[in-house]
Amino acid sequence: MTVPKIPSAAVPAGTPVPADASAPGADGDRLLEVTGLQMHFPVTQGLLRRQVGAVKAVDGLDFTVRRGETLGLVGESGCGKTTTGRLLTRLIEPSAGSITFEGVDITHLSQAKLRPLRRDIQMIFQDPYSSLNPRHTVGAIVGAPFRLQGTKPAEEIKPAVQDLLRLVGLSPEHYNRYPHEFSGGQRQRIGVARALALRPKLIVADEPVSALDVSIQAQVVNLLEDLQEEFGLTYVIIAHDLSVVRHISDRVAVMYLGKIVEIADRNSLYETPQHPYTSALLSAVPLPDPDRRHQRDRIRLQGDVPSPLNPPPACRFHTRCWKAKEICRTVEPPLRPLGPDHLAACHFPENAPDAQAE
Amino acid sequence: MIPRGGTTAAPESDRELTVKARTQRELVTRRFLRHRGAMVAFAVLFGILVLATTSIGVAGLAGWWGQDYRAAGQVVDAGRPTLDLLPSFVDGDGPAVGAHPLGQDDIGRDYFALTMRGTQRSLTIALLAGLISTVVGVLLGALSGFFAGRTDIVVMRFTDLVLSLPALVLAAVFGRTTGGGAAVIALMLGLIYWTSMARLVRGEFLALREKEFVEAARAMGASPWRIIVRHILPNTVGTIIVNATLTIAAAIILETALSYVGLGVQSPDTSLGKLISEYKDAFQVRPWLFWWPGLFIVAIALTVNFIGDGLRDAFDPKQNRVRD
Repeated sequence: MTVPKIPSAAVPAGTPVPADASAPGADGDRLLEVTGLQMHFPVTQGLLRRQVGAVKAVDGLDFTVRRGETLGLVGESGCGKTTTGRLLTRLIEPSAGSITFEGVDITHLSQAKLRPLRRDIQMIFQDPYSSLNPRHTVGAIVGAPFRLQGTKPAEEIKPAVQDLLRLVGLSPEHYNRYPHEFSGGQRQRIGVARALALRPKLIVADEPVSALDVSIQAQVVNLLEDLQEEFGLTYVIIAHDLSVVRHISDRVAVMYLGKIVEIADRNSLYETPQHPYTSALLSAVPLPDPDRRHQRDRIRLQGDVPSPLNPPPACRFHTRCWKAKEICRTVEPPLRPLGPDHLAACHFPENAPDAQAE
Repeated sequence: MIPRGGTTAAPESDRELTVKARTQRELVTRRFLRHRGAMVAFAVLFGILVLATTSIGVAGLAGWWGQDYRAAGQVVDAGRPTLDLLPSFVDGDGPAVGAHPLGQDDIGRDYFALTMRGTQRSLTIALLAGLISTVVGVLLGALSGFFAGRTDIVVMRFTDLVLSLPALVLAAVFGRTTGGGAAVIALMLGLIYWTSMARLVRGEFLALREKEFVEAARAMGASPWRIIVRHILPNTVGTIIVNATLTIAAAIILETALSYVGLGVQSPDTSLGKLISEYKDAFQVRPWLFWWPGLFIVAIALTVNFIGDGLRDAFDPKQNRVRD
């Protein structure tokens, strides 16, 4: 595992790596397209439920997910990652913007119309203890997608479920067991089996390994990778652990306060981060080597993440950014290309190709 | 998990691998049947039921006990019970049932027949009231907790309203105007007692709807109704059963209270509560008139509670002390 370069040490990062070979880069092969996605949760007050404000959990996201790739979504707690995941699976309805899946606009589809779509978009949940119904057997849990979608006659469900259990490394004999009889890692695999049941095209995984201990994390991450290879799955993986994201993703999007501040090919992002926030995040990744740990400059961000109720104007990061100038407080930087397959929203990018701040 | 003392005669080496697949229903039945307290209670309650129905008959069918609970007669030996369980070498008459095993009341009616009739009535009222209050309470509580928001406000304010009405007065008024049939009394008690069930179920639903498995069901395309019935309700079975058994016990008591003020079951029909209240003054001199119906009330309330415990444990998959 290569260690993320220390951003402020200005290490020559070499030529920006072209789009990862494993990521099918063809622009025509977009599975999911998100434009201007917004989710504002209204804040109401008083007897009449007057709206006094809104939590801008997600405030204008633009990105695409290509077929067969893995997009990692990282950011601090409260930056809107999970809300984004729930929007993509349409568990909640966005307040603005659009989500297009395979050319179909699914932004405002009713629950009934979403039903057939649920076969193609599935979700893996964060907490393997709360995501499995304690009163249902493993067979009932993994078989539920078949029953709900009516894709298989009743007598074919059991063998199909047992195949799925085998696929995720559990025993078919576990069919009649209850979730509490399994360990955290096994439970997460049950969740994976459930998500896989209908052979979806896109799986949104919300912190799929953060509740597991490190040795089990590797098992589940590797399982996800193997399954991707076998079934040509596309993943959107939401996580806060940068090492896990680096391991599994083809491209990575960094979120801050409901916005994407940088989205790039994995190597390019980890080696030449452009946004100061990304640099700060990367410098916080623990290094296993004490010598190198002492050498690097650790960027310590001051203060807390501002409230999403009332985010700072223009560049949202300016309140904590050590490079902030007047322009950051007045003009919002757009996401602009700063290298091949590398977009960042900053007036003063860290490793700009021409090293020239605007 | 190694089957402990399994009946399958598997060779020692594949013991570990022989896991018999059981359906959920089999598991639940099995756990219930293995619950000793519940099985004893079930046997006792079943015995009471059989005794009460066959002895004096039910629904026009004649029973094996020759005497009618309405027929007055001559009071023999101040109505003392003739039941004597002690054999002759201890105290006299030997094990004997006699003409009036539980004694007679003031006008010579057979107290055994009366108690059996009272048991029939009290059981009908209590079980029916428990059923009605459970259905209403679970339904309203589930809707309130699951949909939250406006539905919750409306349902909960209505619940508060019903709670604030004095139950006894309400039941009395209805009982008066409708003539006090057992079914009417059961309905009234049911419509009074659903409030605690609704609140408990609502609380459970409010907590459970935030769980990720509910979100997962939604992500698979499950309808709200299906989520309520298949995903959340099974997790509240324990609360529901315990509360239902408490309601049944409470219904017997409230029915007693109603009869005590003369608004419950009307004469010549009777209930256990009515028997007790009628002979409360005779307690000092003829205690059997109080003890026999009291014994049946306690037995019914206790057995229902034990059965409830057994059911709750049987439905809980984490109870695996019965695992073979």
